[in-house]
Amino acid sequence: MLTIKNLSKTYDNGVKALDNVNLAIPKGMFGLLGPNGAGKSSLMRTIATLQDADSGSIDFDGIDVLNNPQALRQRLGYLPQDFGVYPRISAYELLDHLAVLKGLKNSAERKEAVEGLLAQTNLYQHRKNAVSGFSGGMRQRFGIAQALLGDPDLLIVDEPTAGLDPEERNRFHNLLVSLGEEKAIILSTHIVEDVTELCPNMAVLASGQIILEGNPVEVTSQLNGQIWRKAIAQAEVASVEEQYNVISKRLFAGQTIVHVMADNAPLGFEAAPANLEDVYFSTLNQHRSRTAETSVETSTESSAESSVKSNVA
Amino acid sequence: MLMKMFAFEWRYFTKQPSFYVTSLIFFLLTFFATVSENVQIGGGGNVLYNGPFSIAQTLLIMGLFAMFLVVNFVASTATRNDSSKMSELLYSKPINPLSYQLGRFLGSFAIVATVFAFVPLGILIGSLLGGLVGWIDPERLGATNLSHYFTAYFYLSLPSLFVLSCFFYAVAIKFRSMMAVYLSAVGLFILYTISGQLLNEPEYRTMSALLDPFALNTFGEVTRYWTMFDKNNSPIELSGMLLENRLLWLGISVVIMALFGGFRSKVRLSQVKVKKQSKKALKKADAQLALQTEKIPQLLDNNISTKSAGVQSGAHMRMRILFEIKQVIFSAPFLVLAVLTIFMLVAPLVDPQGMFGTPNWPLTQNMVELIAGSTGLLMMIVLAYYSAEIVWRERNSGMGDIVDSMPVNNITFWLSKIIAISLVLVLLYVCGVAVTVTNQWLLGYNNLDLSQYVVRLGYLGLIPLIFTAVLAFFLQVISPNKYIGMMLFVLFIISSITLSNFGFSHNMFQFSSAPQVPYSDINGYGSFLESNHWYMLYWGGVTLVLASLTYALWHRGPAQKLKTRIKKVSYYLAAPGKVTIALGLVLFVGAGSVIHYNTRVVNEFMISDDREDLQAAYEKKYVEYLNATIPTVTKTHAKVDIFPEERRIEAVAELTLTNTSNQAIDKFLVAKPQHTQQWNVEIDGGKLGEVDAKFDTAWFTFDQPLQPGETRQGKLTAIRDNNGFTDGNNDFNLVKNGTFINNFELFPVFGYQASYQLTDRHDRRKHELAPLQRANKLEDERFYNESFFGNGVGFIDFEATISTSKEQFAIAPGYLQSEKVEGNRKIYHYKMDAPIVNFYSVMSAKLANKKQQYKGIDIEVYYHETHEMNVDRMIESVKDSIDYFTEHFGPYQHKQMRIIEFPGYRSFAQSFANTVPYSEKIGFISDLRDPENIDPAYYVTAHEVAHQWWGHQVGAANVQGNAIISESLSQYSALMVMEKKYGKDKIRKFLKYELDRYLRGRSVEAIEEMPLFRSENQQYIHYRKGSVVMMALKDRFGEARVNASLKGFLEDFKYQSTPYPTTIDLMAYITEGATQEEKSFVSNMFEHISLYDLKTTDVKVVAVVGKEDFYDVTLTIDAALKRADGQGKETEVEFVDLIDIGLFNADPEDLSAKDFVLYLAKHEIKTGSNEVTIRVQGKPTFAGVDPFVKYIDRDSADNIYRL
Repeated sequence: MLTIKNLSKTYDNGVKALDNVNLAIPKGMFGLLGPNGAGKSSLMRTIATLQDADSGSIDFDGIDVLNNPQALRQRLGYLPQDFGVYPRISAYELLDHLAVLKGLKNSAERKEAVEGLLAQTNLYQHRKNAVSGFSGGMRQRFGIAQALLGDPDLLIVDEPTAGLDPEERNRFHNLLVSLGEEKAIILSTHIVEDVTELCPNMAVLASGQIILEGNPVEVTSQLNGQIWRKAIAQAEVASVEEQYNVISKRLFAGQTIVHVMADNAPLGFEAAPANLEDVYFSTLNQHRSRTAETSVETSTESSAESSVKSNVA
Repeated sequence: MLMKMFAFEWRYFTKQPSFYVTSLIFFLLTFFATVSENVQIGGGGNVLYNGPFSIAQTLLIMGLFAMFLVVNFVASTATRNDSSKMSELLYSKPINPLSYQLGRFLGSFAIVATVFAFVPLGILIGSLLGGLVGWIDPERLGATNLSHYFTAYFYLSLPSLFVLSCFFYAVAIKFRSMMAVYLSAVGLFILYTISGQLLNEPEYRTMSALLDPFALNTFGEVTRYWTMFDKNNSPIELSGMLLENRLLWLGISVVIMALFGGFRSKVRLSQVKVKKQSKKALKKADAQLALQTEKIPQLLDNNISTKSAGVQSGAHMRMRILFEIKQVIFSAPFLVLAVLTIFMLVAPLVDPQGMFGTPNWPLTQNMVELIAGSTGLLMMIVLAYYSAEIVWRERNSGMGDIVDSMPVNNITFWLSKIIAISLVLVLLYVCGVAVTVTNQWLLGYNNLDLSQYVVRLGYLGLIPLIFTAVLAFFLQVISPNKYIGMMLFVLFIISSITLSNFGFSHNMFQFSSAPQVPYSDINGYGSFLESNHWYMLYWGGVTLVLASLTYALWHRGPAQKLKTRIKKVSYYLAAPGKVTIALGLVLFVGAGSVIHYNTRVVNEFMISDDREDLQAAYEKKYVEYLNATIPTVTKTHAKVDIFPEERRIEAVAELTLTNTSNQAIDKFLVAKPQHTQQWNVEIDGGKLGEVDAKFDTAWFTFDQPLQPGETRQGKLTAIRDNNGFTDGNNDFNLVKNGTFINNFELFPVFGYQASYQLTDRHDRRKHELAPLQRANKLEDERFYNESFFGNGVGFIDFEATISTSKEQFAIAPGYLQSEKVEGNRKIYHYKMDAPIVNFYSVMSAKLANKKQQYKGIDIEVYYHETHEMNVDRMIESVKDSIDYFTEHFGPYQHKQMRIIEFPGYRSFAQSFANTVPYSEKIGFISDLRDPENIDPAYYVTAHEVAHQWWGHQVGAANVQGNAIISESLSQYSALMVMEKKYGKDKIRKFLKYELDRYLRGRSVEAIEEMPLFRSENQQYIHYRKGSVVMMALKDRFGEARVNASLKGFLEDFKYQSTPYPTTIDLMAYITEGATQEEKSFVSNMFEHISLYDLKTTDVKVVAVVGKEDFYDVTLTIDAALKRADGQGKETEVEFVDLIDIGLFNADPEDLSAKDFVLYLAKHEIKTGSNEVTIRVQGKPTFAGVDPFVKYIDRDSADNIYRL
């Protein structure tokens, strides 16, 4: 439904935000994973008609997005990663305002949609309060509500669940799922779990490049039998990291659980079922080491540290 | 800690663009003010651009603007922790409030002081660079003396900045809100202007000098009567009043900081107001619960999948317009602006400054000018501020990404915002109109003429402002952020001021400007509105293009580079946008062609530099004929046909000419009148040669030279025509209603035209012309046969036939012989029975009139129907004047006296033989209801009537001092009439104004102050000093003696032209039979620039033993007489004179006091210390020397000693 071809964007300061991005996004939920600064928001903004690319094209259902942004805007719902609101305007008024802008011209229909969305996002009881006075979570819910106005065919949500409590997060996920499969929903996040729960398709973006694309179940299954885990003390972490290809570590009950990737079980490790997080981290690690290698090749002044890391990898 | 905080603030601000932007603006403002002649901040007259006075004055004026600096830097420091949400991080640290706050305060104050240092730097670099490159005439620059910059900066600016910083820091700390700071800034500004207005009266000047935190009034008071010499040489001294002022305010600011600077309390978060739980709130909670359980579950089933119906231009536009308006109008800044507008108007309305302190009636034409004038700068600030605020609203609120990705056309954003900003402008004007209309109503003036408000403010004022708003939006949109956008706008304003310096003074080069559309109650808009329409079409075309580009380049999404947005221009313009641009270009080119054709082809347009070059070239080419003899007219029959609707005059003057000189005339120069295409001079025995088109000048050559004493017949013709429109060079003499033109303007004039010469000393130097001789030397007898009207102007027999349209009447000097209507023309024939000076007016207008006969003299006043207020007073003044002058000087030569009001494009009254054209701007509109005020209508009328004697009966030779005979004597005569009617107190009040205006006049003299009897057409001398001197003379010699001298003078020189009298003759009559002391008094007054310094230093009162209520009063009086040279440099001379000593039981300054004089007599006072003892009944409370200030004294306040 949405086809991105050879999309590149370099900022004035030399940062390559998007580096020849190619993506085909079908209907349904699409998860876009990536660490901070990977270029997710740049990509989201470019698709959402707010930013131009240096080269490449975006096509949505026959609309040339880069050259005819106005046509896409009618079918777009967008929740930016970070946004503010006009001061001193109540939630209802502001949502109604945005609904008009979105093109809901029939006032009865608009009222129904606005009230419905306020209820869906659990804001209805706060509708008379100024959005500028909302807490972070409430404001985020307001953002979600406005993105859903006008039943968009393309919904882009950038870090939608940031700041939401678990209950609200569930509610939002349910809402997204209930929106049906007729629209393309791009969910940009750094929380792997969100993608696991929701998305039949996903991609990983790092340093402006797509480094992985596919179905979460499929990409996870490729790693089955290669992931091993062990609970170790904090002090041991460094030596384990030196020894093995550690793809992730997290704390559990005061101990560090490390996941390593290897064809055979390292000593003392037990087999762990591969999950999307493992895929994500291993892909990222591989990507980082690749770029580190390139930087070694290209720059004579490169630090010893990066070459050490590449050995470890 | 303190140093760390200081350094932190410094680093913080030096990283902000606002630091550099404001520094640059302050620098550029003074830089341009120094190098360009169009921008003037301080100085004036002949003051050196880098002299101590103009540096100080510039710094002081810029100090007012520094208020914005302080608010921007110091107050934002105080509130930054709250506004940047850093407070929670910071206040959880252990902070010592004193060093923390003080460090931050001093850091931001240092920034303010640094930014302001760019003001003197701008002057310094401007004067150095300007002198080097040649932008400034080297004569305008003194030696660069850094101490002038430092003293001004450290004595005047820095303490003021400190006061402001303390004040705003304290306010910001106290209220933790920028809005509170803005409000207090506006409050301070309002308080300042109003108190400035109210304290402007002389008696409050000392107080206002002390209480002025900006030291502007203090400096004004210290330098009030500084002459050029003082201004360019006296350094600013931190002493006296200035020292007191600075110490006072330093003290106040330290106290403010100590009490409210937040040093004592712990740094903490601002208190969050918690709403109290009330019953209402509890009820509300119940309602919420019900909502939760009943309503919301239903709502969850709502259909939320209504599809977007695409771009809804109409609905979007309606909603966004309402939205933007709401955002703008219901915001504190707008309220602040509205209040500011109102107060800026209230101050001048509460204390209107009319002639001699007498207010004018609140005519709508003046009210409109007041609104437009007092909001001019404000509107530019509004545009700069609001264009940034409004254009960047989406970005600043953080809502940009959401709103920009909505299916909304760019034009919706643009149009709704431009409407909102326009509405701000409209509403500010509406506030202004509300104030002035209320004022009119309160003052009982009910000729509101609301249509004038609509046309002049709504159309002439608002449309260009809205065009400028479109430009401001454009500048914002092409900028990457709002600060750059604002800076571009400020640069635009600066450039529009300086453009004309570089020859782009035609209004076609100045965005949204058009030639002024002057208004007059008599002539309405005349024909001047038409050209304005064309200019508005022209700029409207540009505006359409800018508007289209602006919305096409609109920021969608987080600031994209201009280059990227330009790629989408065509997409966002779409077909309607392209059509609009095309239409705009068509308008621009079309209207531009019309304007070009009218202003440059049909009419002449010349930039001032070219005009100067031409003037200089004229002088160089023809100056040798300056004193060439020319024929003198002895008899005139003017036949003038006026066509007011077409603004055309066809005129012929049949002349009899003679040669009054003692040599034959074989040729003479003739100058073409303005706005005249067809003209001719025909005199028997000669003809007009080729016209030198460059100078509009031709030679008239006699085949047979005109011999001395020979008389010939001649004819002047001129067809004055106004075709199309001009770029401001309007013909105000010939208008649809209220034509008033004199013979020198209407007909070709003979001889070298001295009025074409450059007068400004610096312009003359630039063109390598010798310094201008303003007048012929008093002793130069060659000019004694020439009248002060100039070469070849003498007394004539006069007759005029004037026709005009049927609706109007036409008038010229003389008695009406016949009046008839032929077709749609009215024809008047006037004939004069006594000789008149060859200087006559022709007028045509439709006016109301009032006629009275008095002692065989017809008194007529022609006036606009809404200006009837003072007509009776004028008639009374004519009667009183004729009575007094007839009794004391001699008979009135005519049997008629006519006053005719003319449009206020020019504001003077002028006396022709039995005819006085009188501008609608003066006298007619004075509000005379308060008897305490001076009556300008009565005074001006008496002055003009006096000219029938002084000027029309007795002329003056064309040498220095000639205006003393015509003007000073008329002033004296008018004052005597006034004294008879209004009493001595009024005259004292009048003379106070005159003395003040004389002393201020000499402080801005451009070339050289002359002694009274050598006055070179210097108004502050022949009017102002003339009044003071003549009344002092009358006080000294007595009314009878002065009048007798004048009568003798008049009788001996009546109608005499060979020779005309000079001031030497006049003084001879005055000093006839005078004692030596009196002669030296007259000499001091007339022949020297004398400044008395009289001072009562001590007064002792001793009760007389044995005599109840009798006191011996001993006054110690210091006296000095100083003589000034033409530049104001003084030297002391010895003097002995009889001067008033007075004892009073009330302040003699208080004009309302009655019966307060215990003793008043003249005593001999000499240079040095004098002691005078007087026995008086009743205990005096005030005692002093020259208490009524009859002598010229720069500091008259110390004359009186308060017991």
